[in-house]
Amino acid sequence: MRPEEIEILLVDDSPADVDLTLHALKKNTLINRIHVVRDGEEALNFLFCREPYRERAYQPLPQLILLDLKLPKVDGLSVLRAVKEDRRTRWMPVIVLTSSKEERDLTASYDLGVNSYIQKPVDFDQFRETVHTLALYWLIVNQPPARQVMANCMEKPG
Amino acid sequence: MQFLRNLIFPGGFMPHGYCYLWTPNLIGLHVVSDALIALSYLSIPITLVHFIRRRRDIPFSWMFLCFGAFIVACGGTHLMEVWTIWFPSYWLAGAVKAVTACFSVATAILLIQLTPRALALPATQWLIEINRKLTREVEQRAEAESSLRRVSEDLEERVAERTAALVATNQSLRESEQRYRTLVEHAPEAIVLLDLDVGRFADANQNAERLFGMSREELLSVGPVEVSPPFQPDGRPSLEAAGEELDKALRHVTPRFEWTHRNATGKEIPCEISLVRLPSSGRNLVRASIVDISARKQAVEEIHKLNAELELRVKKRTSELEAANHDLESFTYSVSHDLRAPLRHMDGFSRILVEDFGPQLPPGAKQHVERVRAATRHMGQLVDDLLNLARVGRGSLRIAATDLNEVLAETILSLEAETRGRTVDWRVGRLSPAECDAGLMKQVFFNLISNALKFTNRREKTVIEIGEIRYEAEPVIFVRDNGVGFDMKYADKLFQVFQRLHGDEEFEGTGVGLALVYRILQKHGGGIRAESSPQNGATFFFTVSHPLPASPAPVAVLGGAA
Repeated sequence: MRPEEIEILLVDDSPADVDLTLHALKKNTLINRIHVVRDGEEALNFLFCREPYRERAYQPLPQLILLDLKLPKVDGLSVLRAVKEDRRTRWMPVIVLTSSKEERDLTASYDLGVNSYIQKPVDFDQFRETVHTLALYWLIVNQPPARQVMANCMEKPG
Repeated sequence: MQFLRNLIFPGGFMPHGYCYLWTPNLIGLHVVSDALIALSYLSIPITLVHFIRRRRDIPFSWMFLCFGAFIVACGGTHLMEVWTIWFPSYWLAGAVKAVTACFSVATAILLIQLTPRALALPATQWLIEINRKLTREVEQRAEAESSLRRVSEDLEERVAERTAALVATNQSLRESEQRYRTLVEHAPEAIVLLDLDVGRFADANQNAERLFGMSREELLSVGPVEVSPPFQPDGRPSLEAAGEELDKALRHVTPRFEWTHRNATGKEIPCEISLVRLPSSGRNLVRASIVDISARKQAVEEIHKLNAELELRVKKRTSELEAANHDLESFTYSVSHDLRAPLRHMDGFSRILVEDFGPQLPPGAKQHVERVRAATRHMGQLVDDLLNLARVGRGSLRIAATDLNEVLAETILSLEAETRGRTVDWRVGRLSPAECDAGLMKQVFFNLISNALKFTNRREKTVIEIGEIRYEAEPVIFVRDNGVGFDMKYADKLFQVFQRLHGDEEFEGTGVGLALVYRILQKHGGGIRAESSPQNGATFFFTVSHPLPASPAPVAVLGGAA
């Protein structure tokens, strides 16, 4: 695993939430190769190596996406749909990490093929525990398929 | 007298017997014969006289008298013959003969004179024959007459009968006619009789006069064309449309259709007409029954208008409601998304503050931070509870046959963290299956049991009983604890939102939990009630899908179940 390889893509527009999530991730695990994007559009640009992430086409895709639902520009469910509908990214585990557990969000997320849906607890200790557990599970316990670079499958989208 | 004596007993002559030599036999012969002849001759005039007296119709009766006299005279001569045998009164005998001769001659002459006239008379036999024939004929006639009379009587009787029957028939016909006329005349609808051969009305009742604003006479001088506008509302020429319907009527279909008429003042009247062909020999008669449906039409139009208005209002109200619902949904959605986030941040950064800068913090600061965190968590819980309450309010139930024992077991399992380090005596009975929303029912058990756990946390040994009793054949579920209980005078506040019977210092809570339980059960059609007294624990009785009986379940029964 090269040091520049991104392990987690964190999609969240709230700086406070990003700080707390990073705090939770970094304090308790060895994971620190995290890329943060602030809206859905940027997330898609990053994942599909569009501007300004064109050079990422030769770098492996992240191992995990932590996705908030309420996002500027393109919302979380649209990002989830794009990831799960594209053959090149379909394999990526997507964890919805959001404030609400509204029924319609839950239903829509699972319909689109989300891998987990976590409501961020108010209690920070619980939150830290939750994030720690899921990072541990998806990055260490879980066995992902061989990672690919986007450039190799550029010609066959969809 | 001497002469008579000389005449009768003359002297000088010998009795005639001498001539017979007194031969007895000869004398006997003459005497008997003459006597018989004389008797016969005397009897004949008697018979003749009798005959004439009886048959006065016989013409020439005097002739019979002549005969009678002549015969009597003849009889006299024969008597004289007998007399002269013994007494020689020959003068007298001659005189008698002379008288007889006179009668004879006279009679003979008269007879000769009479004969041609007598011949002219019909012969008796023939007459008799004729008479007989006549009689027979008369008899036959009489018989014929009587049989004729009989026949005629019979006939008369039959004629009388027939006449009576005819009269009766006529009467009943007249009555029937009258009845039908009354029926037609006083029918609630306008009725006209249309003679298709002349294209005019042949009859009309009062309501027809009223409908068309024309007298009967006026009506009988016009036909349907004159009381209809040229075109019907659907644009068809009246003539053509009417022809079609009348054709149907002639084919013994009984058409019923809407029609616009025009009355004498030119006003158009929407009507409903039914046609029926009337039985008639040689004529094409159709009865039209016409109902003015202006009022009905107007009512229908009004109903349509009202309906349209109503629909509009319903649509408006619906869209308003939808908008309100949408607003509410957006509200709860953003509450659930956005309201919790700042709380999380407060809690998170407070925690980080203590962790990262704990050593630098002045004494007491840590406690303050802990208070901030506690308040934050409470607020988070409150938001969650309120969101739950709102969700139950607007969401629909997902009703299914549910094993409440399973739901209860899951609930108790999920409360494990809260019972850690405590001694809890669970007494769980069997529950009947119920038709309910399993997720919400779990919430009910969760809230009731966590309540029970909360209010027993100062007991050395917590006893929580959950079970079912039957009240009026319906299952009533109870959750009972041995906690602090409450004063029954506050029971009505128990299930209201934000109403708490204990201070936060004593027992923390949001005041939403029981309100949520109440809302969930109410939505299922069930109910909940609590019984308690301070320091004696509390018992919550609830039903899932039928109303909770008004009277409290007897504690004795509960005691037995526990």
